[in-house]
Amino acid sequence: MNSFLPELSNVYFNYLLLSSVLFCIGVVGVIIRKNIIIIFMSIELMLNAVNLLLVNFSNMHNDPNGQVFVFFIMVVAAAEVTVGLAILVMVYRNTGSVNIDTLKNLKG
Amino acid sequence: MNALIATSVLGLFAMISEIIGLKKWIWLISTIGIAGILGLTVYEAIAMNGTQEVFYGMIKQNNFSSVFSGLLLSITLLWFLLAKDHYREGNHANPSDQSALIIFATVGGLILTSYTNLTMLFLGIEIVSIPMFILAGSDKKNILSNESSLKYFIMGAFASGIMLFGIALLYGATGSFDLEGISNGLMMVSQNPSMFFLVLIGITFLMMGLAFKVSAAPFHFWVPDVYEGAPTVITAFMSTFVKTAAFVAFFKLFVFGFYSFGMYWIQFFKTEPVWSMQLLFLSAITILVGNIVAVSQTNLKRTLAYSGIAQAGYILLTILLPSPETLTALFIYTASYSISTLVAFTALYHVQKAKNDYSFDAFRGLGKSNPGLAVVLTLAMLSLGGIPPTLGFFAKFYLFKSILAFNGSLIWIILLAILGSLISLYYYFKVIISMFGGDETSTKVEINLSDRIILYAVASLIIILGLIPSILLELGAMII
Repeated sequence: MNSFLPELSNVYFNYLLLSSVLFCIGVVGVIIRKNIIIIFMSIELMLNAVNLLLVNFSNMHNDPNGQVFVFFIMVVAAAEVTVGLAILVMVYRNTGSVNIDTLKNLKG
Repeated sequence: MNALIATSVLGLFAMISEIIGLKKWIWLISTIGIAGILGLTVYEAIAMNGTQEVFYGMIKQNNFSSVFSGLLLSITLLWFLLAKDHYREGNHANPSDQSALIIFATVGGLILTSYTNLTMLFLGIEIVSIPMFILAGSDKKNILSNESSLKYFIMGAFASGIMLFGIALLYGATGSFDLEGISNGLMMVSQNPSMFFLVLIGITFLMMGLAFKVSAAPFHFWVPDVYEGAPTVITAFMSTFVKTAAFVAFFKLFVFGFYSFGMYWIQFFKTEPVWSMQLLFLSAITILVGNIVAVSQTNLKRTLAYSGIAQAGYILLTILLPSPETLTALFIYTASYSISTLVAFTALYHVQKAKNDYSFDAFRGLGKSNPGLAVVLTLAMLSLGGIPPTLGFFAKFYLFKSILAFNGSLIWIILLAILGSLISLYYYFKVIISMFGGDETSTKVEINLSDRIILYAVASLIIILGLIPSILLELGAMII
């Protein structure tokens, strides 16, 4: 019994690999980097890896929904990073540093 | 749908109210507005027949969404009532911004109760989270608040990224973002092995992202820090509203999206589906970690944060075993948890404001100097611990009963949960003992009369609903 779903052929699979790799770079960046701005960039990299993946699958399914979702992600990512940078400015005013290690006051 | 629009308009109005000179009245406007929207939701729920689709079927209103919207709006309303002191002049510089952000977060919560499309799930989660990032840092000069805000932001964005990757993989496997479409697509996938690993990784990633939001262990590490650093009133909102909204979304996704595939899986592979086992693991470890770590805490704010983690472990069990009864249990448990936690945080807020200290020492002798406040906090603690005749007891009882009625072979997780509740009694009673034990007296905590009346009224809900649980039961039975 064969389904209507397309097979994960070579091209699509390569894109899947590429975006997985990008996503993993983003995750590793968030975890190991100390500079908050670089952490924000890594988060953006994660989101953009998702965008690439969505476009790829959208192409595979011949379905525009995936590409529309990409716009949603872009809008939300822009809003999110705006808030993030505002928080960062606030932190910088109080500590004079963008290093994540300066923020170690909360412990329990 | 009208409730959603009305809430958005109220949020926008709260935002501009500072410009048009209504800053002093913002608390009153928001409270009355939210109460009106709650009334509108109830009216719509009664007037509505069947389901109503909006936004091209991306949001669907039915009994499920109506009841949970009502719950979320009630939590926001209770929050506004209890946070009255926070809005007094001199206590906070930007009351209208704060109101606006809280109301926008409520909009996100309403989306999360009624979404049928993963686009809306993502938007709802973000609309709830982004205002919370800002609110956590709303005490701008306080470095603890800054740290809390930044940690929350990084962890929240990270979790959203993981969740999105899960959504993308699931879309790749099923070709749809719609819950129904996913449910149908998953049936096809089982005949198409090349897509199978996408589904498994996708569901796991989605679960991880949502587990971050509901603060389930092992994704809970940000919770105590964020809760401690944020202003206390905001922590109260985060630990009740946001958690409830995330749980409703979690339940909806796993029941309407994956349940039929899970049934198919059981027939086909003769084992439980992978995500059931993952959820079981999450829930067991959350109950253990939350309760055990809470024991060693020295201040009430962190203890309440860990208590919230532990309670999330119990609520996760309803997602594991979806049935009409556990759905009712989800409703009753989140309501009970939210009311008790709001009351506990409000009592903490007043003590913290008077003594500038939220460790257990600050509560010493409170039973003599402020018997009313001490009794209220005791009630909240008893309810969180699950002692009769409070609401918490009934909620816990009903939750465990509904799970055992569904699947008797899971008795071990129920025993683990009961063991967790026993451990939790230790740290809940630590507060009560430090308030009433000993001979010391402390300075009197001054609370405004109107605040006191509101606090007593909300606290009496814990007892009233505990003695007459049929009110909640009937509401919960309406969901199905």
